[in-house]
Amino acid sequence: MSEQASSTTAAPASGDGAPPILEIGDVWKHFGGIHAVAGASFSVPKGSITALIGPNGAGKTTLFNVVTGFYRPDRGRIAYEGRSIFGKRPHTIARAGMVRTFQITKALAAMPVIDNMMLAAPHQPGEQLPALVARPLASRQREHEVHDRALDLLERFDLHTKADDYAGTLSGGQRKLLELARALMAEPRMVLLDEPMAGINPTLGRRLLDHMHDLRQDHEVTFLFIEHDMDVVMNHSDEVVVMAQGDVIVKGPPHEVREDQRVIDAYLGGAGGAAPEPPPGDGGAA
Amino acid sequence: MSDVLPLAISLNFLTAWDFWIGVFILAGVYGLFTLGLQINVGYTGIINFGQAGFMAIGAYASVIFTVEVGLPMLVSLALAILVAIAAGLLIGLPSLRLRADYFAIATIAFAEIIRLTGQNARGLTGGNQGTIAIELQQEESRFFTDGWFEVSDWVGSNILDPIGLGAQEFASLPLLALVWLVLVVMVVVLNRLVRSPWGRVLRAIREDEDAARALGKNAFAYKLQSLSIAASLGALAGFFIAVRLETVNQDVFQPLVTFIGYAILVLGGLASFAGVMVGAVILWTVLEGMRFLDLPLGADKIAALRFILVGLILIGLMAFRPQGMLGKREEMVLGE
Repeated sequence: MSEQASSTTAAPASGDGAPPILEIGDVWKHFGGIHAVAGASFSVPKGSITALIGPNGAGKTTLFNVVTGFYRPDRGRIAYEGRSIFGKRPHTIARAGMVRTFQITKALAAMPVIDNMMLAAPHQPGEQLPALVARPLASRQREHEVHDRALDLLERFDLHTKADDYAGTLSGGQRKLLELARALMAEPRMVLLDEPMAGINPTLGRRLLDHMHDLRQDHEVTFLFIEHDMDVVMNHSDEVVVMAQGDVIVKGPPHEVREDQRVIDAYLGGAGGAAPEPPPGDGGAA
Repeated sequence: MSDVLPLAISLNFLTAWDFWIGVFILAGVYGLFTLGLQINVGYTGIINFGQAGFMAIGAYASVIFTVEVGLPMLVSLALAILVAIAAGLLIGLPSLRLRADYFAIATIAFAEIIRLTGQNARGLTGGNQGTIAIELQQEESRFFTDGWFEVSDWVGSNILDPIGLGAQEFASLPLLALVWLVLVVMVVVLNRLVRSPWGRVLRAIREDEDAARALGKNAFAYKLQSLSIAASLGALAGFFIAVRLETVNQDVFQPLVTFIGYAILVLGGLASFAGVMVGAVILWTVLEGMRFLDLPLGADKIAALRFILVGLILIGLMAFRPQGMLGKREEMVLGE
């Protein structure tokens, strides 16, 4: 089921005409009686920085988990680079070039920073036992390459002095940086960041944003990030997707979204206020 | 430790060769056993409470293949290891996806199933009497250890005797040497493995499975591999315990045995294979040494006392050296 042609679902006045790298169509995910994601549809243009916002409980993180394979969706369409990744397992999706970070940073605490980085590198034959035994040289050579690349990236993120420290000794902000740097070691074409700014100081935060822009510029990496800091969202994203009650209510450039009455209602009004199009609750229980 | 009660304690046993040979054989066998736990618990973060089950499989299968089928001992050992790996996959496939604590419960149930099968499948295992030999014909019995004693006797008369170690108390020296040779080789091999890119993935899974998966690592496949290695080491230990005891009895595979392995693990330190060797020697010195204490108590009470002492040592360790003898304190503290 690879329908890359038309993502006409519900995209009012979308981006700059770049082909979508990620297409999400009518995705549903429920836990018991709760529809955490209820028919969400949107697409992320290749090379864009797209923000995903919405009030708490809107289903943003659940959607992240569904897209990256950590939760199995009930139904819907999820295509990455034109190929369906519906129901695929997390490691398969990561290997396809879509890498995520987590809301609560997952630094591998009892491993050195450099090992955190080297772990993420793809194409290491030494990660498979048969190849490790049969071709130890190939493994060692790849380790050298990966080690150099890891040091380069760490230097870029100002973490190179910490390379041999345990990741658990880093500060919260440094862990966020490490997680992003580590995600980049995986050579992704798309990165999903779950609240990258949460709990880090403004200076580090700005540096993280700079990296994001650089990577998009130099390597055409696409970013989709969940964020609550509206200044960051308005100033650093090309597109904003607004979710409420499991569905996408608005999508568009930041300045339009900011003015949109439905967004204001969703943030201020809660459930009852104004939800014109998503039929809540009875919509489509499986 | 002995000045609390007025006891007559003779420490002569400490100078007896056969005492130390016995201790080191047990330490070596349970060292192999615990290496498996180490790669599971210390490097992969999966809680395997069923190691005694793999040991039972190793012991029973090698005896059955040798005695009933009539295969050479080493071939039987290889087959026994394969059977243990198959059992590991059988238990791991449905339950390794579960949370760590559910998996732990599943493995303890698995180990008991194996043990109780051994106890009750009398035709195959000899039940509670154990299986040592099958009288194929009246005049000729085939013993499991036949093959080993050929080697052992040869070593005894050609190597040990000439250097003055021919006495009866050194009879088990060849087994001691073999067990420790295998143990040391395994420690070296495992150390290389966990320092490889493969081992790095294991440690990442130990730290945070989801992070590893998000970076493209098939955590489930690695956990299965880790469990298979543990199963192989458990089976190897089972083989040696069968050689040592010259019989296989289900009582040797009580769940307690797995927890002796965990005591060794904690003593030696998590994420250290060399620590397993140290922990095993300490633990078995204590456990075996207590047998010789001349206490005014019944044998069963002394047996219980042994484990009380082990418990006290573990408590002391937690208080003063929580990372164990050779564990890394940083990894212990940062792991949380």
